[in-house]
Amino acid sequence: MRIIVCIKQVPESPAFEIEGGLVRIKREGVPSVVNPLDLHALEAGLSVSRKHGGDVFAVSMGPPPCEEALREALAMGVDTAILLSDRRCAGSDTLATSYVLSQAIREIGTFDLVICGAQTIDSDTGQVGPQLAEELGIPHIAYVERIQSLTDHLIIERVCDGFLETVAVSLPALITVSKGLNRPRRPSFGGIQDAFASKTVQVWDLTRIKADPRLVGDDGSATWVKHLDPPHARKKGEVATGSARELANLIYQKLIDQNIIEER
Amino acid sequence: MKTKTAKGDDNKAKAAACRGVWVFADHRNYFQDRVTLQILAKGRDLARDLETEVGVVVLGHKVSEFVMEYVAHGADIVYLVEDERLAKYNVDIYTTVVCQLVEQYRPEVFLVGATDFGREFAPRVAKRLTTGLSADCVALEIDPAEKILLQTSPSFEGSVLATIVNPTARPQMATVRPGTFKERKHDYHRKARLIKPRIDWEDGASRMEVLKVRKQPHRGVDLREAPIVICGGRGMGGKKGFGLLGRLGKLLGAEVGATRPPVSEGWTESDRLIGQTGKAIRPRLLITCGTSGAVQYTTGIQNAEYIIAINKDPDALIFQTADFGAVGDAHQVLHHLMMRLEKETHG
Amino acid sequence: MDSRFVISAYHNYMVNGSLLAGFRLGEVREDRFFFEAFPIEPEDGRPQPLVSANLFDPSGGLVLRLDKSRTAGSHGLSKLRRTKSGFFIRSSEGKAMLSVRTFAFKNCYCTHIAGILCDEEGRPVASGDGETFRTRVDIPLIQPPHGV
Repeated sequence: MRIIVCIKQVPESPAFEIEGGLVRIKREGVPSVVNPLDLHALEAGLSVSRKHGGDVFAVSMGPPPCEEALREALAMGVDTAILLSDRRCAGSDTLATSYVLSQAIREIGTFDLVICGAQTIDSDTGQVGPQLAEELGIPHIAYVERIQSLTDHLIIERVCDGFLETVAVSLPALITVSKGLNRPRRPSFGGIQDAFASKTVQVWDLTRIKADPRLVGDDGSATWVKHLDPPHARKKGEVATGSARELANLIYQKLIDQNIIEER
Repeated sequence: MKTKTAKGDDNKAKAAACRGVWVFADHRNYFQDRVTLQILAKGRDLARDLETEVGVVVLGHKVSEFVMEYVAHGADIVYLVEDERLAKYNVDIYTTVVCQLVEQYRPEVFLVGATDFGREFAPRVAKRLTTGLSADCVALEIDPAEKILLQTSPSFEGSVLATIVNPTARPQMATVRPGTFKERKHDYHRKARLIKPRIDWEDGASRMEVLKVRKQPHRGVDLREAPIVICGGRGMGGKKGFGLLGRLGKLLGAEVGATRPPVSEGWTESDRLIGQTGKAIRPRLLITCGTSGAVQYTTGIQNAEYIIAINKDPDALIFQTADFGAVGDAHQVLHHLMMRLEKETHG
Repeated sequence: MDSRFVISAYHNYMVNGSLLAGFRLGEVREDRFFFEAFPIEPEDGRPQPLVSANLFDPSGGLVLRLDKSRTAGSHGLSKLRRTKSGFFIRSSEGKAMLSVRTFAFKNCYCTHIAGILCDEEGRPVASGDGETFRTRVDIPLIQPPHGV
């Protein structure tokens, strides 16, 4: 069994600067972490391989500092870690990112299961998983909370819009995982030693994965960010006085205005 | 941004030929979940700016009632695919059907509600169509000069808003956060055109099967995920006050949180704590009652979209952060509010 | 080739698996089969099917003429019974021939047709079981403007 876990290194907390009236995301000097849901994805991969045998790959697309995230994955126990790093990937939207990841996975060879976190804390889109599955031509299922069985197909439980669904998917498949799936292990001391001593993070560029540069970065993206803005500054709003009933009626109207309740 | 070559001009021509604003009908939790109606309303504005019509895409089985509801709420055209194979939501088969519709009719905009299903289904559709998709949008407008969709999507858990454009790929796709737009009133006089497209069912059989579906029993929602939160502070006075908040919460479908003093006093559990040492929340609506507005609390509520505050003290700091403040006794105001809510739902 | 029809937010008839605001089967002629269902607007009060038709039996005999859901001259002893939600027609032997009923949803209505419609030569031109209503493909099914 071969399991591939896609992870992303993200800034620990958002940091912005305003330069000439424009908002820019600050990356330098901001501590980074493995995207929290990706830890659950790694844990899922490791526990599946422990139960069914096989190896676990961790793959990440990003600039060289992202190697740190992959070392953490090695310390948790994955067998192989691969960093996809190439300047030309800068500016990739999810279309381009899913293409790059798929090329890397094709380069790895056959696989049974791809696991991703349901979304990242920075871009929040939750799109890479489904788009990667589409690029690989495999089915996907999101928000997995429980893996019920894994034989020649996969049966999972997941929660979707207030419905608890049990779904069977043919393999190979891609799943995205929610917090509720498991509790990620902490890297063991031995694991950390291994991660820095004997195991290495392989670094692959676009040439190695035979990726067409026209399909990555700006060129490979269909969308561009026109500008960034801070959320609307919290201004002091109106303050009303009156009897309790009058105030309640005013609040009731606000609930209608804010689409919380329907106007009657 | 690199300039595109002849391929770019070719794409521009293809883009110009696409017409129509489409909305995907997510009807599984209708009548409670109204995101499709909200997007239809905004769709009408966008379609007017683009001088085109609003189409609603309905997949399912035995969905006549929803079709008529969508006509009443603004659809000009209904693209209906009704089949037993579509009775349960299935991202694989829904993607195949919707992509066939898009290839056949070529809309310029395609909007999907950012429900759980929408957020796993729209990306797959966008990828198969090789088009751009922005997630969980909180605003949509048509750029008056370029006549393209300006998509405002939050990043970093709402700390920054990105305005995104998709100049040439079509359709321009976005998932839309529920509650962003206001639905139009139900109009019984409206008419629409119904189109029942031919579907090639052999094109990609489904690789997944939904074996069992059941409605989740209501369990405590994590405050961080709750769309509506009611928070109580010292001014709620005790456990009884929090009981009142709980009853209001049931009426509004809201979760109840607390500041540090009620938690310390044992009026409610510690997992309800909101603030610097507790949870940071980002609901659509926060009603904060009897809370003074200390900074240890307000850092946790900065990302709430709309804040209503009730406090006896007209100088309370909380009014600096709230969008609407009511100076009064929280118990009494909430009591009247609950009576009004109960009257309107049962009257 | 997809099919296109006008549908209403308020009330539709169910024909060939499709909602239709109004429709007509056949051409309106004195001695020939036709079946015309008119759109219902919110001002018309609680929706009831509004049908004009020339109805024949399997032997080709004229059974009933309907003019906006009222009988306009009848033959034999077939009876038209009106109900709160529509009407039904029994043959002189008491056999159910046609039932046209409007069902209510929360905010809208849908009319279903059950029974067999025959033309002036006694051939079946349409039939329904109350859920589905199918028309013969060679009989023209149109949506007259009906001021819609």
